[in-house]
Amino acid sequence: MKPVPPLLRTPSESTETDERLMERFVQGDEGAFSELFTRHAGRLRTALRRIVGPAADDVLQTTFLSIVRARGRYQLGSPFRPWLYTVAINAARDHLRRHRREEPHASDTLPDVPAEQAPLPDPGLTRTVEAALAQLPESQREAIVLHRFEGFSFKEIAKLLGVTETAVKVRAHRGYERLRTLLASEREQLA
Amino acid sequence: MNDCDRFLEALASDRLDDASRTHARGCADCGPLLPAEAPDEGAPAASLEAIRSRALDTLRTTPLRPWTHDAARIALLQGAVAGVVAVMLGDRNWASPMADHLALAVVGAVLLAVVTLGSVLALAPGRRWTRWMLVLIPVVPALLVLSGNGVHTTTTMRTALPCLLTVVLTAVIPLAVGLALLRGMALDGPRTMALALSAGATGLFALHWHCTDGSASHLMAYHALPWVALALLAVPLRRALPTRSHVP
Repeated sequence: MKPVPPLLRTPSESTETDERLMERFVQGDEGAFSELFTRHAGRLRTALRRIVGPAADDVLQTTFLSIVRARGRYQLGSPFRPWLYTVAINAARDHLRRHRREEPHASDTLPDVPAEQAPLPDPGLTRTVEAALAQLPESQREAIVLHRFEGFSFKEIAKLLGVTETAVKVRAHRGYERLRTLLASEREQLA
Repeated sequence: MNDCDRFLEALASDRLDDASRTHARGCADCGPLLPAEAPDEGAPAASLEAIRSRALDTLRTTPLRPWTHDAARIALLQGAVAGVVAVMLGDRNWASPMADHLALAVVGAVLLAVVTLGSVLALAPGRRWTRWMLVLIPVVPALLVLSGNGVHTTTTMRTALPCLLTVVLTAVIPLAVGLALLRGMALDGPRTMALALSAGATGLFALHWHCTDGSASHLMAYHALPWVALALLAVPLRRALPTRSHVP
């Protein structure tokens, strides 16, 4: 019988914390890495799609290759999820910086969704919201994705992005304000 | 302030109460902004599986490389470069009858710490230490001037230029090695500057024992200025290099 790939299995039954798994992964434990990947990859890709659009898979791969190559820089015991998102945001910024001139993500058009990708199950999130999100400046988009969609607090986001909490609040406030205006104008056009 | 504004204020200050949530649920403008549990995206498992396989392949071929090993190597390299160049140039300043030995020794020890410990702090994970390293930009020039004898001996640019060249040329190898190491971590301007300040201090250390011109203008223009300029130049150099890992 063909073995079931790990990602098609039901979510992990392991009760080990991410941080404990990370300790094992740092020592080269492939099972621990697979478990961390299973737990976080899907959701992280969703977040990355909101930040970089169709290049999310490339940035996701860069993120996981980064943590494999530089796992020796992980500080044992420190919270894993914010660290993973810091790496992902760094990779996303690098991607946007390198591709800004070639294919700007922020535009008036909807970001392309790969054909194989299923519609997002979140009922509050429409394609209109995604399109509006894509029109925000990168820093505001990051703050909103991490706050609105990923559930990080402003304090956590500040630590993750390496800026002050006030700066994050300002970015989020401006972003939400702009997002609301964009959504309202979109709704008026449709009406 | 209407309900929509109140909701926005509450949302952007992480203080969403029940009233704001109730408003947002019934408001076409605010509803889409209401934070919701973001469930994992469903399929495609195939592309995720490909990423996982590639990462596992990389894991099998990439040995664990603790950051402390890299930090120790560059600290030793920079210490060695500083020591060798100092020996090559000689201790003319230390041997000068004008020299204040205590001040020279103290500032020399600080410079050696910047050369060795500074590179370790610059490579440490996280951002805290690298930001603190930038305090060196005003502190080191001030210390150089304070330990100087105040005597102006290099009267022309031609006689002063070797000091500038020493700072720049001594830093070339440590800076190149440092930039190569920085490729293995996320692009970070302050970290790059911190490591470049440490690499550039190799030349400052060697000159500290050799250069007999202790005037503030010479120390600032031909010792400190090229040192800071190297740190500033390192940032665009690092930006131009591809990044191998985005780990902070």
